[in-house]
Amino acid sequence: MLTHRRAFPTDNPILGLFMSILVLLVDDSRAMRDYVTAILERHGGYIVDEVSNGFDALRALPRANYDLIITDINMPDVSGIELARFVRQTKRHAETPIVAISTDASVSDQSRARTSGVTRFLAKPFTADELLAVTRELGDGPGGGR
Amino acid sequence: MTGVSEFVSEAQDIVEAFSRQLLALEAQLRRAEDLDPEALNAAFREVHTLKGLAALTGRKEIVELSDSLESCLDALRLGRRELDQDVLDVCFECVEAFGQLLIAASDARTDGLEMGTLVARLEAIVVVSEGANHEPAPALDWLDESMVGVLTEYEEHRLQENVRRGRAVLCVRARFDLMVIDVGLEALKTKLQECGEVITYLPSSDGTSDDKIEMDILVGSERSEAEFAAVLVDQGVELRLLRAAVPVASASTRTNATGTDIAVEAPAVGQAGAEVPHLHLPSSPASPLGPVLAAGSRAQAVDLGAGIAQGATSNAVASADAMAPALAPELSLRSLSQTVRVDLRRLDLLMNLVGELALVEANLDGLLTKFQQGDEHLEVARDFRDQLRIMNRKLTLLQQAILEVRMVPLGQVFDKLARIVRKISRDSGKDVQLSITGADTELDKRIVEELSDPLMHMVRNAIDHGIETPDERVSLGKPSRGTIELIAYQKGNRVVIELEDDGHGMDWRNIRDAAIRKGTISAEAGQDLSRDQAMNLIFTPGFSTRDEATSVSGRGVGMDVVKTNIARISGMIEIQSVPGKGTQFSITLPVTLAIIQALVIQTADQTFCVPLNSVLESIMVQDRDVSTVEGHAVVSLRGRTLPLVDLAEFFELDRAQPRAQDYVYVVVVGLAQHRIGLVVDDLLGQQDVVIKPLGSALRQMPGIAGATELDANRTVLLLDVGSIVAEALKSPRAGREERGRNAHACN
Repeated sequence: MLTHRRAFPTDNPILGLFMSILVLLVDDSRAMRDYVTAILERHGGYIVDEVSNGFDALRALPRANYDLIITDINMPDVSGIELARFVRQTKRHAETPIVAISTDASVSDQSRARTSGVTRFLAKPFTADELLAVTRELGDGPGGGR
Repeated sequence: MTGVSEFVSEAQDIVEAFSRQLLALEAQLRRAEDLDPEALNAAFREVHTLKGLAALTGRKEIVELSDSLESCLDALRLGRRELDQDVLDVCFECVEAFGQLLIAASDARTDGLEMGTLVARLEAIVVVSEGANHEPAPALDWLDESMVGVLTEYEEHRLQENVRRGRAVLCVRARFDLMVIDVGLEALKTKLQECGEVITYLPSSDGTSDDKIEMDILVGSERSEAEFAAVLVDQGVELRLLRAAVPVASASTRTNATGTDIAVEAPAVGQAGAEVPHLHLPSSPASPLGPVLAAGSRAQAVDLGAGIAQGATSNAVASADAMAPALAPELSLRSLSQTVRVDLRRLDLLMNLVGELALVEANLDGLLTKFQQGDEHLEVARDFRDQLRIMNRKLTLLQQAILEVRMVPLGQVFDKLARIVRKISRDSGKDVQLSITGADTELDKRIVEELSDPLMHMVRNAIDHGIETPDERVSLGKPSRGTIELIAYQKGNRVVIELEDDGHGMDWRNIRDAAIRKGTISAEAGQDLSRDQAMNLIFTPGFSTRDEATSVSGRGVGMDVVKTNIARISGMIEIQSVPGKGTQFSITLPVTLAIIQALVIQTADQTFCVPLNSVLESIMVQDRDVSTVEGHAVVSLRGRTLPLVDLAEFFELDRAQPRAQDYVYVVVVGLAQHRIGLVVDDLLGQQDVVIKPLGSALRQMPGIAGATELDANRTVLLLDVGSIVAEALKSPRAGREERGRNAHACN
């Protein structure tokens, strides 16, 4: 039922430009969500589903094919690392790039996040261009996406 | 970019939450209790969030201060430094400093704020913690490697801390349906927290279904496995002991392990359990006494109420006074934005008080009347009357003002619906636009909250079952893009919300036939159904015009739930549908819930209130005008037959003596398109009443919605017109028997 909203790198490069990219954004700060969503939806041609905690993210994941997951690391209950691990276990999102946003996750947290499946780190604060550079690279670049 | 006022408002919330955590910690410290690791971690997270937020909006000073504070709190939560009063004082100073910085931010000022000294003190705390003696961390080699790999540094520390205290570590594996995960998890979490500390949740895919999820929950506990299992019985979870508890020799609770290192790469030290005896060796001389001394030397500043404003200004550390000059004493707690978020429960309380004041006023008025009957005090009575009138006027204004505080525009819900329409139409491959009118119509906050789910469900239904695919629409000669119209407007003291789609509509005959097929109604009953009655079958439990649920509308929640939810906020829902053209729902709601106008009636010497908004009219009927049709009492009203319900009979009230007069009053009430007449002995008048909920014993009683107080401290019951109408439309006899049983059960 959701298959029409396929992942973005399509076989047809022209078509790819017109297909919107579906992003799941997980962050417990409303301001942060507003900021990221505004950048992505206004400048990047993305559609963003926002959730404010790990549990809601778990709920959202099976309901859509996300092309990209952006998550805060430091969240209560289910952290970004635990979420990444879970995402990698699911068939639907096994390959979906995960961007972790964090101010300065400790070195050990960072390395664990990577082994748990986080694709990229984005350090707060970041500019719109920095965010878009990461999402575009993961979307279109070689080896990114799927 | 977030606007300044939004930033300030959110930042202020964060700072307030942070200072609440500090106050809680300070209280624990004063009582020399174990510090709640959750509070410390929450404080850390608040500051972490604040830092991110400030960085986003480019508030350099706040970033700088929160960065140092965050490092300091990180050292605390990871057990590298013990929390003592000195550290708390610095934290409280940060709260003040944030307040000043936020004032500056909202005034667009940056001058005269120097955070350097505070930052330096925070850094000093962190440096001390790094130089402290480190106790080797207990090894976690007994834990599954895949689990260790996903713990955050903090979670790992908590795990080690639990081990260090000799607690058992258990893994609880639970399965959840994703739709209800937060409810189920919340319940389980509460249970687990009774037993110990919940360290982390590890979700994992159970592999069989997308709708299910497995959750491994690590809990540290002093209880035995058996005790644990007893608490979790009936929870449907698996319990696994990862590490047994090790009895600790010392009963000292202040083992918060000052200056222990939790370096992640630390090699395993011997066998599991071997490190436990280290537990009660204080590794820093300051550890057990420090907080006590510090707390004692600044006794007057630990008053919790004044904590935020003053906690930091008086300081036990002599040098600190000299180091905090930038923080001017003229502290203000004023809110920086004009909006106030108020807990709805507080407003409810105020609302109740206003209602009770109104009662006092009514009582005074009654007293005055008695007073005036004696002539000698006429002069005084006149003055009294004037004052009473003034009080009445002010009271009305107060009531109005409180009601207005509770009012929010429906736009709040409509915005969410717009997002849902966007999302669902995308999911279902349909092209749908939402047109909104009257988003500024205001309703009581509680009603708006209660309304959002039913509206969302109806919008989902409209897209999923109503609006056709673009191709289908074009072939039908409709524009390819479907439209859902949401119209809200005020009509007298009610608000009407209309939800209209231009999809394929519903044929009432199909609904009737489906209902017969499903056994919702019998075939004979089906023959007599009018168009309206048939349409209303969609509100019957278990009814759905499609056999399979789609992933959009889902299964389970039907229109019956929508109707129930709307009825709960005293609303009515009506449906109209034209096959091929579309469906229209119309929801009528009271503007507010807390105070309603009621018609006070009397029957069999009992007084009841009827919500005035469901009363259409009241008429006097001579006994001889009442006729009987098929065993039902009816009366003819302007050419239409109105079924009657005798209220005394409905509630099985016994009359002390037979009715004296040869006429009755009939209160005509309507619920959606159904009209019935309630037969009562007398109409006593109209009054504003404050609804109070009933206790659980009476809550299930059909026909009663709540209680209210009338003058002279009399408590009377408020009728639930909806359920009386519903009962009356059922087989009257069966309904009565059932009610009789309920009534006895209540006695």
